[in-house]
Amino acid sequence: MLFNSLIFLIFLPCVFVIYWLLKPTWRNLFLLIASYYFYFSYNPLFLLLLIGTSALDYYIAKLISQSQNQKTRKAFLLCSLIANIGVLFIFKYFIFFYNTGLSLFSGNPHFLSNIIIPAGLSFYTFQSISYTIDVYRNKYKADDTLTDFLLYVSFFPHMVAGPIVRYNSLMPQLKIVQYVQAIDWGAFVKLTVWGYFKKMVIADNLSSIVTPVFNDVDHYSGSTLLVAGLLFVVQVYADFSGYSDIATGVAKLFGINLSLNWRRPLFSKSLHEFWTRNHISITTWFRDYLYIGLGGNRVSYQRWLLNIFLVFLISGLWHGANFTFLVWGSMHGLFFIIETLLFRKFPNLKAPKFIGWLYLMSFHTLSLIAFRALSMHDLGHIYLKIFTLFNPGNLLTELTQITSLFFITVCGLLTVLLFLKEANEEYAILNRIKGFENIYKPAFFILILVSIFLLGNFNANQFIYFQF
Amino acid sequence: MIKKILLYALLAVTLGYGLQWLIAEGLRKNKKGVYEKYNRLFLEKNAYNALILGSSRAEMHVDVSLLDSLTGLNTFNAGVSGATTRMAYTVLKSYLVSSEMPKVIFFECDFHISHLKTDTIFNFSRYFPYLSNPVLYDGFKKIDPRFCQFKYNPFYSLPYSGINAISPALHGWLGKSGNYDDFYKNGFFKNTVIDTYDHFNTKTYYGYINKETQQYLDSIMLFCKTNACKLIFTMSPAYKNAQKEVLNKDRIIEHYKNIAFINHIPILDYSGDTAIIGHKEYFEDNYHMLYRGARIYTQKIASDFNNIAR
Repeated sequence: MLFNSLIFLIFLPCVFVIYWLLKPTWRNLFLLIASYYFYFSYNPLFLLLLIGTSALDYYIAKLISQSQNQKTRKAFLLCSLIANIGVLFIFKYFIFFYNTGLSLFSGNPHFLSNIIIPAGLSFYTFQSISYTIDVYRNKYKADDTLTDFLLYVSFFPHMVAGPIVRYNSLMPQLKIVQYVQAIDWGAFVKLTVWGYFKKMVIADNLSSIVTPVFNDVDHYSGSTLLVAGLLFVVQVYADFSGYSDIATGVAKLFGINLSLNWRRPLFSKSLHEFWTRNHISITTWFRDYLYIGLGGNRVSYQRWLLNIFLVFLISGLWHGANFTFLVWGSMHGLFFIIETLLFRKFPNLKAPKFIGWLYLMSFHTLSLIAFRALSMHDLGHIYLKIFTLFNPGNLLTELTQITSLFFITVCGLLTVLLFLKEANEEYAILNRIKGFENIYKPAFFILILVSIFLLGNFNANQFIYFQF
Repeated sequence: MIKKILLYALLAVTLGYGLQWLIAEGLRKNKKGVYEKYNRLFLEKNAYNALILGSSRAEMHVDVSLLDSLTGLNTFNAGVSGATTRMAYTVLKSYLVSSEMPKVIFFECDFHISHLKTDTIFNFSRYFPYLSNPVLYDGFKKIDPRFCQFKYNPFYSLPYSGINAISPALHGWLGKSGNYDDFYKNGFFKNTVIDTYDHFNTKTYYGYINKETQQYLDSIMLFCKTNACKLIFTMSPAYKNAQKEVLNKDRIIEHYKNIAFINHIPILDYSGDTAIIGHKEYFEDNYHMLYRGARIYTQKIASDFNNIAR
């Protein structure tokens, strides 16, 4: 079930009404069943996987919590990690490694074809892993009921594409009695309307320009490829942050506040700043459970730099089994290290804001091109064309071969609207105007709501991050 | 709080209806292109003495200006994309709400889609501005019950008309025309578009004339007979690949010929005309001719018509 599908528009009000009609003691169980139904609608078999891995983590965490012996605790943690990472490996990486191995060592390889990856596999696995690690680190006692724990992992708004919510943020909210009067309707409307607008109007419309270009890179000149890359930056941001906004808004209907996942990353002026604003829940997850696990900065200088690089490399691989993701991760790792060294060497270094933003956007666009390219061959071709066969004169002709000039103009205006809205949030420009909160803001959201119907792409396109 | 919510809801609904009207009115204001054709078909008063009826093949294959110059007729091409026999019949009846009954109707028999049943309407959002035509609305509502929602609920119709309708609606309001608008003349679409993609793939299948097609063919024949209108069946050429696509093509055509024979209807069968079907340069795809082919075909049916009329 997709947030942008008709069935979800029936599912959500039903779950909302029944949830608030039930006695508080039954609500979590009902929400769990509803969440499982939500996931069941993707693929019934994969629901068993979700239940299996999360239940296993629940019992392992209990065993870790009950054990006083450090070795035993470590052994239990290893079991949990092997089980979770094993599942991730089988579904996401096995075929990649198998095929890569065959192509290297066999003259006549019989490649395996790709299998379906369970939706949101790495999101719920990471959430589950973080819990067992935290219990192992004695941050929490594993004294929750099975229902509460399973709900913590699979609460439907965030289960498939995040945000990855920490135990101490979500579990207390699941345990207290919620009151319908406390629902923040204003936040629900703003978040969901703007989220749907970002997804269905901005991301999905941009996709109809970006996808044909990346599917046929040989056909386009460097300028078109670069513009498609830039549009993909906007598309992926609108798509993923749109999902997070909808998830956060929907969670508010049940009195749950999900953590902030995006803080206008496209306004960053350096890669360091970018990673404090972009996909915050996964970034902090990698920091807390991988970077610190590798020793963080409490190691030798060289090892510290290696740790930084490894975290980005693994986060690239987290997105999927493709060399292009490794290139993306490596680029980020390398530039992050360069920035770190620069900041250490010149602590008072301050570039003009615009230059910083330009650097970040240029780097982010070029790295996301690696993220979006279908293969290493395509990626090489794209970079070669951007840097050697730019041909800006071909841009408009090539774009109008894909779609009409009117549609391109609409997409351009939508991107500007997104930028202006974010700029207003960043710099609080319009908030100073009298009547902004009570008149202009509601009017804006009503306009946005109606324009979803007018400009939205209603073909229920899957969210980009579901595949991860 | 409730007052506020009601006010916001009212605003949203007003905006929705306002947008629906703005788009529909803009489309109805088009003076060129496909919407101008539909304006004439479903809203305006016409007195053509001949009508071309059928699908996109009828729309693209019969150059009415050429036909008129060769036959002395005054023809309008009422072919619409994706029309099955049922749709073509609905279009004819809708046309007659405001316009006079023509003296001659050329009906394109599509042998390759005669097995398809109508449960949706191809490009259905194009008809939204014309749902004030009661016959069109009733006819389409019977085919696709969503038309009731399309007419009265902007939040249901806007996602379907959506972004694609804005540009032609703006053209209507601004009195301008779009890229392809000049290709339409008296309902005929002059197809000179050549793209780089190959549309000549084939997939073989057995066709047949289904009950619905048969039933609406009977209705058209009866309607023409009752209203003293001369009905002529036409079968326009299909590219040589397409000849092999429908494995029992000859049988289906034979079936159409039998129907025509029993009902004393002339049938102009050029589906396998060797002067046309082997020339790829006459075709855009297996079933749609470019203007070069359409010109030759129109000359042929004009000549046949003159013979019949004599």
